[in-house]
Amino acid sequence: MILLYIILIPVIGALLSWLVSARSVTLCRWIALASLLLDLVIVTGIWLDQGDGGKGWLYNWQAPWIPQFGITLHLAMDGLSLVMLVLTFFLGALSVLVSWNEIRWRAGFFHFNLLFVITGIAGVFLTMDLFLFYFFWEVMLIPMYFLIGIWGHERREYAAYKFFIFTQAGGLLMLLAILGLYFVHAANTGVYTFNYFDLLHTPMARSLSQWLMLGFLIAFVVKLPAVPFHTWLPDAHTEAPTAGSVILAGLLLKTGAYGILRFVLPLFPAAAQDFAPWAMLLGVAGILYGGQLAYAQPDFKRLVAYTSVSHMGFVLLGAFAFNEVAYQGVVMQMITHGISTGALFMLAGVLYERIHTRELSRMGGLWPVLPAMGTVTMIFVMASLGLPGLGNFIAEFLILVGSWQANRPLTVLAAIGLVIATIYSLRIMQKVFFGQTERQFGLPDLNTREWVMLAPLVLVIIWLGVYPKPVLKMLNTARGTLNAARGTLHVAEAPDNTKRMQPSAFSVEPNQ
Amino acid sequence: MYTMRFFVQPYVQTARMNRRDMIDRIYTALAAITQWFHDILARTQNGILRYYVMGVVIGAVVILSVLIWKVYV
Repeated sequence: MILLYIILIPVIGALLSWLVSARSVTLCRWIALASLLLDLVIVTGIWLDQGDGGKGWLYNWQAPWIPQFGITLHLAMDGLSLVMLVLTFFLGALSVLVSWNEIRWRAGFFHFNLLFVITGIAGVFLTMDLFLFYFFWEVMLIPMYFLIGIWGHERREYAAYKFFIFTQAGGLLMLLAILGLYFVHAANTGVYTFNYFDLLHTPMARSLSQWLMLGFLIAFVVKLPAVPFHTWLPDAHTEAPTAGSVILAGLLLKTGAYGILRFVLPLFPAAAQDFAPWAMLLGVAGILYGGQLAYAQPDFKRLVAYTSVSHMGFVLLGAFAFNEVAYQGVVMQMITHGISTGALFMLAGVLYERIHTRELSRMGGLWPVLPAMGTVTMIFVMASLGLPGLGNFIAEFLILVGSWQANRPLTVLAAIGLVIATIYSLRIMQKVFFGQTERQFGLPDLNTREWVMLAPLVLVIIWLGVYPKPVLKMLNTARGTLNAARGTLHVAEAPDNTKRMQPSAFSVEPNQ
Repeated sequence: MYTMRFFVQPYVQTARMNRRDMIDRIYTALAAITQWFHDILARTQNGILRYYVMGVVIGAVVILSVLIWKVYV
């Protein structure tokens, strides 16, 4: 049940903040912030409660929705979902903070959309019914289209259409693959169901499973994004308002990676094995190509957007390496990339509020004027290039160690990506904060609100770099749910209680 | 000096050349083709009835000839 609450809280927050905005815009912002913080507290509480972590599924909840077609409201949480949810609500709350002064026009509808995107993302991370998964996948899409199209920068409509068409086309292929899987399962077993745990054991011909896998994979790879499906990303990221960029980079891209880990690999293990070298090749191409394009960009946000392509290449590389180390690296990369890139977009937004440009050539020499912002930017630039001691290093190192066991030549090429990351990252610092300037006027340095949103990010990225053990431990519990302990989840149709899944006993304890 | 020549310069030059992302060209070209078809087809919607009648007649002739050819030849 608590899983349903986690999804419902932002929905209620969205409706409330839209209604309230007619009276008071400030109150609407506080409601949005409060609903996300409440969710953050809930998921953090679950994490702390978990301690060392039981194996397998932490929570599971199921209710019939459209029983004629075998569609259920089936939510379940394992370590991977939990970690991603903490990231979701953390970055979600920060993105409300970041738009506090930026968004003044139709703030109520803005927060409605923002919270609905987060609802969709939370749903994607929790749902174990493929139909429901597709539903939430689309729920993410349309509010994001509005966020870009209404509150974006100059070319917002072009970017919004492009984002929509790319992700919608990918999603459509996924829908076809889901339906294909549904009917294949029905034809071979006689049971019509969208339940993830039943579909895991679908017997099917090799060639068929390859086609179905490609349908899923393309949707996720477009979202990830990997070369050559990445071109929506720089436009969408650049034109979106700051909060939109943070959510896009920090969370929306992660749904693609999550989909690969949760659906593509467990549903089609053999087909994924066959396709692995090509997927890894796409990953490496993304790392190198994205890195070089990032270096060439004249626009701050566009540069950071292309670094996402590069970093997400590591995710694809690691996901298809099929081993424990790479898998841990992939999830670490998802988290640390969300934090470091989210922070860089926030800094770009903060800078834009002060100097009203994103052109790197018109910046420079800002360090004496904005020393605090320079320091924070330095930390995240270093994180982005993978400096040891910051989270991204752990992630990339684990991925490279893991993929070395799977494919050596590609790993060597991917490691070159670290050098390229250094080049584009240092370019940010050089162009923005170092160098000469003729600027005569002063600029205000970070204010309290900006410190409140940047300080947690700094702390988390350092914490992940120095002591990543809690996260890795939590992921170990999820490994079982993704791999070995398949199909351990058999749940009675109990619409109204939360089951706590333990390896030993299915003890029912409504502990909310 | 050799690093400059064999690594740095080619890297910087290709980066400059590809600043606008050649892969994006594929998609913008697709969009341009669609736009082109739109322009062409929109022009046929000109409100002159005899064009429409002619279109229907040509379509009917093509379909009938294909049918006749399939069945009798």
